[in-house]
Amino acid sequence: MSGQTIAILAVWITVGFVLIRSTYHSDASHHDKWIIRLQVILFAIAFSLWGENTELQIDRYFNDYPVTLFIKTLSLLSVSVLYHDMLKSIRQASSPLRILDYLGVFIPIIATLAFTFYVVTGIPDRQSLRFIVIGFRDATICFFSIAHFIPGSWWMYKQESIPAMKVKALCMSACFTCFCITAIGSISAAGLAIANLEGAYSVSTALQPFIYIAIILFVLQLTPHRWFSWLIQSGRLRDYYRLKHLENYIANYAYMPDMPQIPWYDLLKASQLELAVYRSLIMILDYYPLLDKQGKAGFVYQQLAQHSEEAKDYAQLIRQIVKIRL
Amino acid sequence: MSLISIKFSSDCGGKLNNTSIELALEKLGYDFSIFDLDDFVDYVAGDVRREIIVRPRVLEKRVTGIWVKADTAHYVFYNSTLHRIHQIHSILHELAHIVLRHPPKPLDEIFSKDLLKDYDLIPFVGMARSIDILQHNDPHEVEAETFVYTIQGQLTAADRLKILTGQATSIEGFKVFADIVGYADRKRS
Repeated sequence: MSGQTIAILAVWITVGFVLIRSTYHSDASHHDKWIIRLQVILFAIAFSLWGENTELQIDRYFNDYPVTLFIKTLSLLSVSVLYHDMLKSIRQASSPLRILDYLGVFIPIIATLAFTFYVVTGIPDRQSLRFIVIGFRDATICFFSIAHFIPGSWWMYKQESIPAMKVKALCMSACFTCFCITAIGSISAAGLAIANLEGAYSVSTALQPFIYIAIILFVLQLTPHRWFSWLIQSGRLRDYYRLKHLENYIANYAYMPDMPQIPWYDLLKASQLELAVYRSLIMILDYYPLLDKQGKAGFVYQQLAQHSEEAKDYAQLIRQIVKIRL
Repeated sequence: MSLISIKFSSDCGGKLNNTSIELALEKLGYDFSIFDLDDFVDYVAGDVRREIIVRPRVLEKRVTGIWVKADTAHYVFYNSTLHRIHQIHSILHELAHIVLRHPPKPLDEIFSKDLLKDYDLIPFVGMARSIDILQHNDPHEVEAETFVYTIQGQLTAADRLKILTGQATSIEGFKVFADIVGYADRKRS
């Protein structure tokens, strides 16, 4: 079984999971469920039809017309339009650029008209047509990404307080960025094909590795939270040691009674690590008023006093305090 | 009771050991998976059969909380100038004294008369949480502090479960889509 077949199977298994989940384990509205279902199904269709060889094999059954390319193009563009609508709903905001809303209406029409035009007129250079269609498709998705998807994912990262979802928002931002990098190659290839110049194939494949990264990131952000727990744990461990370092610094200025320490192996358990972070924070908040008010200690005192006053919640307080450099 | 002799359980959400604190919590019988501070205050008040009134006060930074045992109610004063998490910790510390039935002391043994006058606490009994008192390693203060950490151990264990099984996202507009995709398992009622 080839790598591509395994990847296609993995994508369809993920689709199956989403379809089952949306059917049997969600109380969401019909409309919202179908927005998600269509996105994953259309993405899976486009992914399954990846590659020129696949196109040639399937198009044989359609009199060698580029039906597969048409289906892939329409699928991916539709995913972009659906994601754009979903992102507007998530942000509860209108489109950042009005033209993005109109593209959603016109893209299927333009794509269908272009395909029909090809069928009717019979343009001979199939290879050039392929570069032009892919270039047009990727340019459109790139436009959506730069105008809405990347800033939208970044907005979600900033707004989100659940650590696993912050990771996923970063994944999406990175996914779209990788896609845009790949699109540079395909758009350049389209330009070369239109200008009837050599080198379109080399240019189109030069940045292709980035699309594999984009696909992996796209699938990753569909996975349940617990799969990211190891990543979040390591970040929390870093927070703990920074707090401990600050606590030890304050201990130079104030006698702190010993509290029983949590053994290092228990810090590998998420709940124990969280407790250790909490305890260290309380020690810092209790004893920092004893710091010298001059010099470096005075600077640390002011930072702690400021964060204590301004941080809106526990999570933000930790985030601000671990940034204090000694 | 010295600090060293207090065994800090490394498995606060699981099997209980024989420390007085964990026995007291077990006897209290509060469900920490649904912890809410106001609810916990009411629960403890019900347990000790006396009203507990929690109030903010402007105190100096070194003093984080004061418990006053008055004739008809317990008063818990917390320093309103502190961060909310510090305030909650201090409130729980004072509640610990009440739950663990620590004998209150005359407050003029803890604070100077001038300070007592400033805080309007003459001539009551109680206990206080302050840097000076914590540094003295008073056994009751250590026990109260350990009580709070034990509660927090149970809360973090419950929170951890909530993160895995509850809310998938904090972004309101995204909740329905996160649920459809199944980012976090949801307990169905």
